[in-house]
Amino acid sequence: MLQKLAELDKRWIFLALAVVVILPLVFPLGLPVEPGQMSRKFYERIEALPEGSKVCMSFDYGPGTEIECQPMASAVLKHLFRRRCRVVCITLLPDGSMLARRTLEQAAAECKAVYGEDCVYLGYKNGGEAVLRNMGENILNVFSTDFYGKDLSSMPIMKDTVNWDSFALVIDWSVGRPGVADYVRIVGGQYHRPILAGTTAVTAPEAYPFVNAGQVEALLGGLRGGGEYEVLAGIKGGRACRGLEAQSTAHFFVAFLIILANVIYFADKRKKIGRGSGERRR
Amino acid sequence: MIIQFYIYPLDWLGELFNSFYNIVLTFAFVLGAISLFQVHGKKIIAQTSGWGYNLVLLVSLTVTLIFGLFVFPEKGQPVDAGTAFDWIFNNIFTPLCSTTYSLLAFYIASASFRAFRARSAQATVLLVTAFLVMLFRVPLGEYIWHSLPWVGQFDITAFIDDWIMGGFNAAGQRAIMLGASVGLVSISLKILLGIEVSYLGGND
Amino acid sequence: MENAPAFSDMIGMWTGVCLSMCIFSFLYKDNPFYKLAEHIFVGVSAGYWMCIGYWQVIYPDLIQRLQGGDWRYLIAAVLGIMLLMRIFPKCAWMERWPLAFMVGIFAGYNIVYTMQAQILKQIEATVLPLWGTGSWQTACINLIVLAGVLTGLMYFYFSREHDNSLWGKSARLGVWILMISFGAAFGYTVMARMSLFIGRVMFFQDVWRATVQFFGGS
Repeated sequence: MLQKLAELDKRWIFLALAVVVILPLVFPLGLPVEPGQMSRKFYERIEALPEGSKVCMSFDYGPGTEIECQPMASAVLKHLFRRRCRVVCITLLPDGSMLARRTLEQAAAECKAVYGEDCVYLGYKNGGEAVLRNMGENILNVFSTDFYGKDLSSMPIMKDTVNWDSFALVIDWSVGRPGVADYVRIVGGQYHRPILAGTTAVTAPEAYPFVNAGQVEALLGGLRGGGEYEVLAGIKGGRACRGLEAQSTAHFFVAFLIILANVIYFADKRKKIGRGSGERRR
Repeated sequence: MIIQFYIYPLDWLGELFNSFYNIVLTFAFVLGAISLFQVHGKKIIAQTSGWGYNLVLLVSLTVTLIFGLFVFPEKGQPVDAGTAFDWIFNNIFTPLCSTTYSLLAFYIASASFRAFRARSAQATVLLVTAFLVMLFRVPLGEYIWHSLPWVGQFDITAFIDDWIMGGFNAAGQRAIMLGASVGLVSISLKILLGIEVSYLGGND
Repeated sequence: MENAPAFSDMIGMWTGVCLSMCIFSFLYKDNPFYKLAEHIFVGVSAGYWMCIGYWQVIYPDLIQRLQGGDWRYLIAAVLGIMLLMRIFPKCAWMERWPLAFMVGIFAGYNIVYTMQAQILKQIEATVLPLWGTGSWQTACINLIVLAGVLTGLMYFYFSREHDNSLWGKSARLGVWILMISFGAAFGYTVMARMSLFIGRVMFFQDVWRATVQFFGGS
């Protein structure tokens, strides 16, 4: 029996995983999502911003990891608009350029934020930290037009936006490079701006040394981080919260697989030892 | 870049070089598209096995380029919302990219079953930590933990956040980061001093 | 009630579903549908990157600046064209110049900013007081970080043998801390990978709801 399980065709595992993920999405369990300390810190940092503060938000993720970064980006954007903060969006990843546009347009429409006054999308520039370095001197030299090719100098939001000093806070949503490390090196290290970050779960452990060193004030990690923020921001039926139940069952399934594999491994090992000592006795 | 850092009056030079860098780097995207035409075009002409797929690749590349560069909406650019290029991004690029990445979920589950064994004490520590993070950073795990008598009072989420992620994980990741950063600085110095030239290709 | 989706939206959504299913079919075994979707993906990605690169960088930063009379940007244009020369074997040597320029910038950034943010600042954050921190938890975490970083670095120092000396024992302690770190990273990796699949299932759900709505259901 155990031997048969050990040689199980991987496609059965794939099928079981699909079932385990689909079921809680079709039949929700209604489990509560408890925000952790880090999400609360993130939320309180935004709550502490005075009305009218300017925030720079960078969308450094692509469609492949959209499910992890988009819910938190959307929730934080809505929270900022509700706090009457002004948001300047950019992206350092070509894949992120259209996603950022879509996320900003949806959040702005929902919160009735006026484009050009409450928010603006500057678009994409290539070069990671070289772009960030030049933005520290003069943003209009780096982005002469917005994503749509419109002149920026005539927009009210850009009137007092000169360089990094113009922002009360910088938020980066990232999947790797360019991402948090670039912001820490240039925006935090050179221009001393406070940084908040949201990363995919796979990148989050790598970002913890920056959090520990105070270079990043708070960090949201993956779908869980997005779910926690949706709860804090009072967003009902958010995508992250919807997905977290399936996340739970998937994790339990992987844990079950690991336990099963180890049971088979130790049973096999015991059998071999038993056989070895039997042969020796003979 | 180093001079720009130390001597502020020369900042304009760094700024200009940075702008050049952004532009030259973007030419690499153009080079990528041209290379695809070259490589796959040759295969189509030679009619190597599976050349039909190469044709599909070039057709999809050409169609995207046409809609993204030459088909303008009434106002604005081809990359604006509601354009054909936007349609391609939303309905072709996004699903293909997301689904390709999502295959990893299946392979990590299968790999966990095939390879994750508590063969030594160190592997067991790795396994236990992975279990703690996997089971108690999700709502179901937290719910089960808090339903347990006695131990349920203990805040497992805060323990994972502060001690495992903020303590042990931060320490391990920082050790790796310091090692890698020292390597990066030394290789950068070797490049600037002309000791390391392998990026130019060949041995000269 | 939300507005029913338009017919064009339905076409788009179902195109996405079909292409996603083609990719998922690889889980059963490699097949022509997967290969087809894979090749479309490569073609569309390359085209997408080039278009975005053109409209967001080359057009505003190079063409418009040259049109405005800023001739300094001719240097960038020449370097860019030299990079493209790679496609002609006889002129391939030209690409070394822009490559050297890019690697030089990269190296310059690394020396200054890596040193500052990823070495000096990280060392500063490692050497923290163990007494007077306000709580015993903070003191313990500071100790774990200090011991973990030091012993971890000792483990990565391969020029000295990890024997039974104090050095070797410290390096072995480093391995234990690294193992905890890798365990946490594995847990987060599982989390990330599962999220990606959950995202796709949620997309299918959304398409299904939109289709029901399109055909007049609620």
